[in-house]
Amino acid sequence: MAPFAGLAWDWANYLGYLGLAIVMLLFSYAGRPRTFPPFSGRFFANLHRDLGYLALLVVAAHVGLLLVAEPLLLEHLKPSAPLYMLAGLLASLLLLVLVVSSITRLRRRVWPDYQRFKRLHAWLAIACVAFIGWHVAGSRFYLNTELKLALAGVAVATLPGYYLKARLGTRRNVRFASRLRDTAAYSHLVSCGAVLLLSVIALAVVWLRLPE
Amino acid sequence: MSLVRRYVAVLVVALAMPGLAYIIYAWRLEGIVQHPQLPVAFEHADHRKVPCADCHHNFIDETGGGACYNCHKLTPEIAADMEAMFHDFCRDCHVRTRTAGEDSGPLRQCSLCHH
Repeated sequence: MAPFAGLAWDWANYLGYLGLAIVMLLFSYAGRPRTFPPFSGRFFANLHRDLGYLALLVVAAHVGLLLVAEPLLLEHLKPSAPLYMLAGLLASLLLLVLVVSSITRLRRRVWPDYQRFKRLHAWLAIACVAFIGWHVAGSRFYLNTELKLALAGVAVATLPGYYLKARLGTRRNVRFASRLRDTAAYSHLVSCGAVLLLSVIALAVVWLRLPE
Repeated sequence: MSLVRRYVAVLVVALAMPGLAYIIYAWRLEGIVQHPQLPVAFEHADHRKVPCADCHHNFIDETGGGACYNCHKLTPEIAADMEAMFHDFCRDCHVRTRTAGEDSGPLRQCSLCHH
C-alpha cells in the first residue's frame, strides 16, 4: 500500500480515481435504453448526461486541487512533461470535448446525423479511457505493482468492452417507467447517489490509509 | 463517398500518421532539451546509507563524467526519459523506505526537493 503523502495529495488523487470510476459508469449507463433497471430511455439519457458533467467537475477538481497544493506541477502540463502526464492532460481535454460536443443545441448544429455523432462520441470516449489508463499506470503511485496494474487494466477494459458487446448484441424489450422515474430530477438523484456511494467507498480506502 | 475515394483517404492518413508522429516527437524532444532544469536540493548527509555508486554509476560503468546534467539532460537520446528516470529513482526509494516504516525524503510534494 502506498504511504500517506499528505492530505491534499491523497484527496486530489482520490478525486482522480473517482473521476475514472464515473467515466466507467458512463460506459455502463451509455444513454441507451436498458432492460434493468426498468426505466425509460429518457431516464438513461439524463443519467448519462449528469454523470458526464460530474466526471468533468471531479476531474477539474483533481487538477485544480493538485495545482493549488503544488504549483510546480504546472511543469507537468508543458510539452516537456512526461508522456503519462500529457496523456492525463489529453484525457481531460477529450472529456471536455465529449461533454461540450454533447450539448444538444451544439450537437444538432455540428452533427445533423445523430448516428455519426454517436460513433464519434463512443470512439473518443474509448480513447479517453485509454489515455486515463496510461496516466494512472504511468504515475505509479497507488497502482505500483504489476499485479495491481493487471487487475486495474482488466477492470478498466471491462466496461468499454461491455459497451461494445452491448452495441453488437440484440436489444431486448424495454419496459417503460412511471412518470416519476421519467423526470430529470430522478436521474439527478440517482447519479448523485452513485457518486456518493463511490465517494464513500473511496473515502473508506483513504481513511484506512490515514494511520500511516 | 465512393469506395476508391475512401481507400485513398485511408491510405493518405496511414502515410501521414508516422510523419506527424515524428514531427511531434522531435518537437517534444527539443522542448525537453531547451527546458531549464529545475533546481534540486540534495543533501548528501541525508543519504549516507545509500551506496555512492547507486547514483554515481559512471565511476563503475564509465558511461560519462561530471554532473548528471551533462548526460541526462543534454543528450537528446536519453533526455526524453530524464524526468521519469530521476523521479522513479529518487521517489520510489523514498516510497519504499517510508513503506518499510522508516523516515524518508519527500514522496510527492515537488517543492520539498525542487527549491
